[in-house]
Amino acid sequence: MTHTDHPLFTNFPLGAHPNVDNATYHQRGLGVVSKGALDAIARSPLHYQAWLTEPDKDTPALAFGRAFHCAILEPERFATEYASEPDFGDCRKKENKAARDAWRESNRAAVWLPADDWEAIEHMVRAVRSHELGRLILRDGDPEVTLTWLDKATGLPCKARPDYLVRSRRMCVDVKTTDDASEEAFARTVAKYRYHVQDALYRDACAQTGEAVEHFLFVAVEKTAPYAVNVHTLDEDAIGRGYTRARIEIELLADCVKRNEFPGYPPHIHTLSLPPWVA
Amino acid sequence: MSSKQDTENAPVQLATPSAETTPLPLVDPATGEVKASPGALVPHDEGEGQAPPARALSAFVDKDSFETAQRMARALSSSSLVPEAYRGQSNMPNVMIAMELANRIGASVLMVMQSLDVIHGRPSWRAQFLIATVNASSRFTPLRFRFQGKEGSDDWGCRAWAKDRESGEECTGALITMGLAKAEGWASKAGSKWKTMPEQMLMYRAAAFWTRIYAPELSLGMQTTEETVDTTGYEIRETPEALRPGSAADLERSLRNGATAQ
Repeated sequence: MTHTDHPLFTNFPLGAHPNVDNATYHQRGLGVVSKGALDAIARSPLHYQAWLTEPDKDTPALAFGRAFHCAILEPERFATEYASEPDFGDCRKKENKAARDAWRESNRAAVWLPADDWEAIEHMVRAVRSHELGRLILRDGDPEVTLTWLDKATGLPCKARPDYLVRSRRMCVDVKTTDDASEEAFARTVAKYRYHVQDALYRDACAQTGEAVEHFLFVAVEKTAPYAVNVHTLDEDAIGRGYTRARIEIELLADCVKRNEFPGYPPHIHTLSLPPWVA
Repeated sequence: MSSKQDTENAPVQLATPSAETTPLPLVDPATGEVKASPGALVPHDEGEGQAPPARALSAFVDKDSFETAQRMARALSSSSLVPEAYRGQSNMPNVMIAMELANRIGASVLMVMQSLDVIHGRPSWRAQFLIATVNASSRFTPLRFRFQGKEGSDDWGCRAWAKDRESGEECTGALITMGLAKAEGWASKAGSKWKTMPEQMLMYRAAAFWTRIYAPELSLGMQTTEETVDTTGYEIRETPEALRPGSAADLERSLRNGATAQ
């Protein structure tokens, strides 16, 4: 699938759209720029090509993250679409399995969450809503606005979906679940998951769709008790580095699409140095 | 590049400071004595030993100096002519640091602000500013470059040199070659300027090395922008204005006050 037959670009005009379903938004397309596409091509064009055709497998951690996002950003939808699955004990036992199957049958339309996940999500939502900044940040805005635009330099179609857009404050918010929300640990998380690239790409998305923002906040919430919340924003240097990476990767993607070549790692003998922390 | 073989090229030069921008001297914090700035920028036709205007600007000598410097920093930070990193109240500390650096090397604050890049958190001088500072210094003749080797080969390179005005001694810097640039990995980074403008990069790097040896008080131990980019790994694209962040402190204040940001 290329962008010319990608449902997001054929069914919606470029700009900001509040109600794009997940399947349409997450559809992958050759040459369509997104944070996920940039992460893939950052490894190599070959990895990008594989990413296009082999969607990531769903994992319990991803499902947990999705459920929490829904609970904190769209509580009404969470209340109707999700259900807490009780603990039926050891389901190798016939009666337990029968009870579980009966419950699942009667909640067929819902997304089932293990009871302990449900409880953790309730704690996390309460933690954000009672956090003195968190509760002020996540209000008066729009959740999950889909932004689409064309990259001016390469002409590639681009998409982004900020978690929460507060237009009155020119502020974009991303909610992140994490094991450690401290500044030190979250800075490492930013580097590992390239949130600085996301920051720059999403700022660009907002600017290109007439929604320019001054602030991009990360509301980091710990997944275990005491469910601590910490709010972060990146400095100008980090955004500059993210922007540089995004530009290099978008241009690489455009070049690969144009040539229809997706090489792997450069075919040279690479001399390695040990990381600085090795004795 | 035959034209570069030991020729008297016009050096890269920024505007020589006028009388108004002549640097202000350092103050000895212990005695309050006014001293000439090291490597102070004075017009070449001024005689050695001629004292620069005796008015101190060091912000950290006493409370009055600090308050005066703060007022100056406020005025500068409200100008739309200064670079983004120095604009607005939240960037006043950057202006104060630029003023201190300007005082230390004896350059104008505006020149420092326009010539200092912060890359990956490291303040770095633009190479042309460093060259201009050496050129305007009363201690040395303007920097020149002596090329050698065949253009395009690994041996192709240059040395920076200048004469000590007092002793007449020729001060010659380290040889920078394309082979060195390759061995150090400077030329292999994505977007490296060594691939597209090697001659310019050879001169910039030769000047940076020369300054580090003969006039470290001018660079204050900081690398040039080009060196920082070479060692940190990739080209830095200038972030568009629309992507630059607002003040986090202002946002927090606004959130707590319940006001809607404009």
